[in-house]
Amino acid sequence: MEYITHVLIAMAISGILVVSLNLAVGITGLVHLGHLAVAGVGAYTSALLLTTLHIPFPLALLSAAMAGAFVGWCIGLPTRDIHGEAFALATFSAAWVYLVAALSWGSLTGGPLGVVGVPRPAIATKDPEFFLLTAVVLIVTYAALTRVVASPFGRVLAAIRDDELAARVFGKRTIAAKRAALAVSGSIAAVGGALTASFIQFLHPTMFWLPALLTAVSALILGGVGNLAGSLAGVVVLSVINEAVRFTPIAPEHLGAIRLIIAASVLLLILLVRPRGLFGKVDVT
Amino acid sequence: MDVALQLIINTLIAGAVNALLGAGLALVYAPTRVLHLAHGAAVLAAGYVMFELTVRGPTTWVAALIATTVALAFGLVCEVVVYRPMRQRGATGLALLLASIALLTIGTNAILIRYSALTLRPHTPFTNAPIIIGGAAITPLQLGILLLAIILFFGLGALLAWTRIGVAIRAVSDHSTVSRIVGIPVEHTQRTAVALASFIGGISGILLSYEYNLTPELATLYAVKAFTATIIGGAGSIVGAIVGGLALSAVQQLGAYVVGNGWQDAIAYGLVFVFLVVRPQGIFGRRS
Repeated sequence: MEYITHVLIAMAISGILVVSLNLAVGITGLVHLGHLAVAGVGAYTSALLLTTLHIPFPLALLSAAMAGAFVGWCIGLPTRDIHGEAFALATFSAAWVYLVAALSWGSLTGGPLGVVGVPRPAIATKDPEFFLLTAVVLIVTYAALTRVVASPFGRVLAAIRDDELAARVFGKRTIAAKRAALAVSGSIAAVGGALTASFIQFLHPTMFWLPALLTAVSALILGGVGNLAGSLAGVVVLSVINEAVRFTPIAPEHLGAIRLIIAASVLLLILLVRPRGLFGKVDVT
Repeated sequence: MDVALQLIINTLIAGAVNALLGAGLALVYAPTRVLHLAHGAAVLAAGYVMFELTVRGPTTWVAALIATTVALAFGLVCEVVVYRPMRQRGATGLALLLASIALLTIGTNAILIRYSALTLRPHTPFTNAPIIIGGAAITPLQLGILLLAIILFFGLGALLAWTRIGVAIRAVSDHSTVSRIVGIPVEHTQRTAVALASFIGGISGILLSYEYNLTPELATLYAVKAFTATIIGGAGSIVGAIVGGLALSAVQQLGAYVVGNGWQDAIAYGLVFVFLVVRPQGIFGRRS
């Protein structure tokens, strides 16, 4: 039972991360490979505030969200001129900078030792309660994003994805819109990161590095770019496969590596066979 | 003066490493327009295979050949099984980039499964005694890497300039459709370029394993070094990779000297970010 609760919590947090990634990638068309790094920033913000200043948990979440919005916005600053591949690589470099900074800035982040003993909120110290918390956050996030997508702002973002020049011609302020999208997606990712830190009660720079990014991207593409429900579906499918692997006769020490190979293979399969994913409306690839 | 000389030598060596990796990437990118980040896994795999073959015996040329072939096979599989079918379906550069990251992940984790995450230290056939030049030190291995880089670059340059396949690669890099019209076998040329790049990567990987030892994460590190050299220097050009590689190492060495060791990487990758923002069009503008 405890195992299932853990899996559910992990799925809920993944859902938060992938749905926010979809806002940037699927709705706006910006392949944001630094997304998990922003989540990491949120995680560190929350974890450090909780462990050093002992502020209340909601305040920590809020701070993480603000930090994520700020970093997301900063990453959006250069989007004036760069698109597509260059943007993906630029955000990938930014993610690398995050990793190196988190590892090197020992005085702030604890470096390779990480942050230990990240507390959970007083109302949700036990796993089932924590699951309720993450589920609530996921539902709120999903509902909010659905509203955003349906709003005029969301339509501008979709227009940017489909043809940015045309959107500009119609007088839409695309650059500001893109930065706003990245700020929103970043703040949600940061909340997801903060929840992760409190869930595992430990934080290390590599928790939000390439493996996590690949898994999120894989779930995103699997579920279908541009479709928020699809992202949840992608997360569920990938999680089910990952947990099913646990019951095969594979040595436990190889489990992590096998899961990544599976996530990567799923991504390749989708890209090769059905780039639209399971429920995608748009073919960003 | 000693310090300056040491910095220069360090820059040359690290630059040679970056340039070797970047040249492999450039050699794949130019004819195929794929940013083959999985190249890092090919390079690393060669090092691991070499280790496995020589850990209990002498370091032989046969082992080196086998290790290099493994790298070559990995690159070819990526091209034939993934990149080419995707290009045929009209996949965007972005999709190909994601695919290459997926392939890099698969390669890294396959290595992880087979060899575990422990750092392996290959038994180097080079002596360790540093050679002192005017107050700065360089080891025979580092000199070997530098020489390898120089030889490979001249060899590659000659191949590209004077052989039929070299001309074909340059043609496909410039304009694949026109090349096809004049009768150049485009797919075959692309495969050959990838094979060649992976072969070079394999040789590099063996030497690099002696210098940096072996851990699975190095695949990603090599990929990032390659792509940084390529971005700074210009994505389609081998010479660009060399220049970019040296520029990257210069920044890192200076950064390490001024700021201290941990931050040099952050500086370097921040530099890439800046570069991509300020000057991406000249770099990714070569589309046929």
